[in-house]
Amino acid sequence: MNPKRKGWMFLLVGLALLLGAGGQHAGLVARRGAEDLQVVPPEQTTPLVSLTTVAFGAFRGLVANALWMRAAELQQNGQFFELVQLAAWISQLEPTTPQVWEFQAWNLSYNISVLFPDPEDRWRWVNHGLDLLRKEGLRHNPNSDTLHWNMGWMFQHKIGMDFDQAHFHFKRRLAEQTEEVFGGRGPAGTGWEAAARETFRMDPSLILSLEERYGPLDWRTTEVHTLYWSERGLSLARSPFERRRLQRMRLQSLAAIMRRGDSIDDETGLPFLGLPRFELLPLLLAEQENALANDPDSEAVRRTARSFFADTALILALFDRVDDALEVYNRFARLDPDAPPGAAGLRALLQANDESMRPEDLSREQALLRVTALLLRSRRWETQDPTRARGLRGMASQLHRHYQSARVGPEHMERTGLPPFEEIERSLHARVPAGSTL
Amino acid sequence: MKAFAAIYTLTLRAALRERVVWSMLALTGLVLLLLPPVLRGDGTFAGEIRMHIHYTLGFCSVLLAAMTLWMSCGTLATDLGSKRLQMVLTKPVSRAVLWWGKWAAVSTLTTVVLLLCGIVTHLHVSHRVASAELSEAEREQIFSSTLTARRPERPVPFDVTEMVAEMMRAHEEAGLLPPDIPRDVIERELRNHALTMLNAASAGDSVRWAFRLSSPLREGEGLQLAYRFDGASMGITRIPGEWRVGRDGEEPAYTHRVHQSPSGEFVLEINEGGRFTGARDLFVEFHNLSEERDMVFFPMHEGVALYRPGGAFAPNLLRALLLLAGLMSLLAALGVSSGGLFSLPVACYVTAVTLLLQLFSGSVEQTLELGTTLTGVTEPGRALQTVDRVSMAMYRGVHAVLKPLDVASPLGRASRGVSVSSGELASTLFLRMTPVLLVISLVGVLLFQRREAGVAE
Repeated sequence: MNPKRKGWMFLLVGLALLLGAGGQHAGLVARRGAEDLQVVPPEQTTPLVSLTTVAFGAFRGLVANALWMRAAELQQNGQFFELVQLAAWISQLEPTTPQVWEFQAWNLSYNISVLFPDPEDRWRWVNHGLDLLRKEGLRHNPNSDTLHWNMGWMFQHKIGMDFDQAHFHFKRRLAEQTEEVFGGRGPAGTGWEAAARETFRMDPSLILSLEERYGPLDWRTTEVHTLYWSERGLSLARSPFERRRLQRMRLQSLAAIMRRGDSIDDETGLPFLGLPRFELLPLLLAEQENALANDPDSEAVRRTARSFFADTALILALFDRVDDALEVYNRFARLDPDAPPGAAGLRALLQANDESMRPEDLSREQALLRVTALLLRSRRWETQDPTRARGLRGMASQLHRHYQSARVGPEHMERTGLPPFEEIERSLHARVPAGSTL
Repeated sequence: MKAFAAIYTLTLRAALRERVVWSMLALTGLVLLLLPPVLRGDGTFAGEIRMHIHYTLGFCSVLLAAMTLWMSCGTLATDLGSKRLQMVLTKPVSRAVLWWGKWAAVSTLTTVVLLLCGIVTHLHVSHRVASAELSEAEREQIFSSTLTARRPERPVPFDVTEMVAEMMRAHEEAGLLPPDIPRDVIERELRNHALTMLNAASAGDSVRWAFRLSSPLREGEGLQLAYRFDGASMGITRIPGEWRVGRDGEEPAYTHRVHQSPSGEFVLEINEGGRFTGARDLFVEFHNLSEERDMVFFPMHEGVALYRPGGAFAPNLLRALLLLAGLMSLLAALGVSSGGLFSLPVACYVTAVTLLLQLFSGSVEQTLELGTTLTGVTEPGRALQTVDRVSMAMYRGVHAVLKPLDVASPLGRASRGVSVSSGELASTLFLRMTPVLLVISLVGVLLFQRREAGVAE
């Protein structure tokens, strides 16, 4: 074949192949979207991710491996100042794998933070993990239910619970951050929308929708952040496992808001004590019933509901709301074949709880809730029956003392101790007038 | 000399005509300008400054290494391929002069660009520190722990020879020596065990190190105690303890209680008020105050050091960069030699593989320490044992060549404010790198002389 003709032939074959490959493109993009392999169009991702994805090509995995090894080595040697950058690079090399973001954020917030004795240093690392997830992980995986659950978990567990020695500091810093963003306890005035989007990567319309349904919410507290992320994740959940755990997180955060969602601030203007918001009870009961109806065969959902009904019945009884307690208890009895329905069953539950729970075995939240309940009941009887009021106050004081004396050492006290009894009492008196109830 | 100068100039000009070289230089410029603003430290200003120095210059070094590799391999290989070399060889220029001229040109270009990168980074960092809103204490901390050059003094090594011999004897008498494990492997393990125990303290006990400083402490000279725990052995338990430092044979003049997580490097200023002025022999002791029977471990090597002022940051950075430039010159020598022997792609491949081996010299050393490549294989067959013997011989060869080039992270040290001393620089450049350079050049020139430059086609 003459060379000229040969050249034309190759050109035509090349063009045909190019057109054929180009024709596949739309289908591949659609399929990637359908399989959730790449939901962010390349033009919406960060320049670094675009660059590394293209520039390293097939070597991306090798570079990621080298960075993983370097990060592990540095962490073992206690050289942390590079780790935030390395975590970001590693995740950006595998941007659409949520597990990578999850691991890196967890490593920063959990593993590294605890190595610093200073609470402010710890908070910085917890915040690094949160920022990595919400500012970058969710940017590249906006539909990942796992990452949304992880965001909620960081607020619920790392900041909200008392496992970390510096958890009080985390709570204060979160409250300060939120006040800065919202200009108060929650969205108020104008301009908060941009700040919420920028700092917390929160969607203002969802914030307003939650406010409308459950408000007024105190966004300075961890449970409200947990509610936000679980609610947002739930709308994206695809697998039954993710849906259940996000639903559980959402209900737990709502229950926490019901138990302590009405904050009393200290003299610095930050949350100090939370009073119950029992007006949320009907909503919560309906949500639990809904969850049961939607998933009738799930033992996990039944267990969660049982535990919620039993706990809520106890709390209502503690606050002297006997009728509500009985109603909630009957729902519990419906799910537990061993529990007899009616007042006798409720009494048995309360008695069993009193016998099994010594003050020293209570969690910090349980102890604070009981002290608060007793003091509020005392406040209610102050004008009508001072002797009864004194008795209730004495019980509260005794419970406080027993709980505090069971703290083992100063670190345990710092982590799980209650505020001074007089301060709790003073705050409650400032909020609730004598003779009245919640 | 005239011929050398001519080759040198021609090579420089040819390099500056290369698009690859200009691309690498442009990328280096971009790294200097664009990388620092996007780098994220641990949130502290000191961390950001360290990242700035280490990563910016680290990235520039990688780009310059790539540029050196390309230029050095190409300088002879391209001339050979394009037959330009035939023209040069018709002149009275020996092949050795040709080799050295090309090497010198490539090395000069790399060194100059590397030093320029250092100057830009230094100016940028100085500007950032000057314009940052820092408290007096923070500023002082930056200048005492990052933008400085602290000279480390290491403790007198523990002599465990007798201890190991005693343990060997005891094990032998008790019949505890496994017959299938070579004696030297058992001895090494016992030695490590002894060192671990000498660097550890159980509750109520102390671990003590002796220091013989290189010169007595001068009036007003600062002294820092830097230490890190062995986090891998201790987990995250915070153990209370007390640091005690004193002159040899005297009571401790400095005590300081700590209660820290065993991770990260900690630094204490211990010579406030000049309490150790004039001292040369010091002891440093950590007393474990745990009431929970927790043991405290320090790494066997470099767990504890005393830092003395070792000069300013800028000269230290310069020394670190000169060490890197030395390594680049060796890379250039290897590239020029390969280029004289192979075609451009093969030369680049050979040089790049050698560079990779150098980067992974830590793994090679680790394997040699283990004494086998078959860790985890319980019963290796004859074939595997043969492979192991051949591999170990190869590793030993590679290690012998690479050991002189093993420079302990000069940029890492400069960014942490640890000194790269003039002595270290001189001994590394002249006693370790120069012999390797001479060997590479000798081999390169010999092979190049045997290469037929004018093959008829």
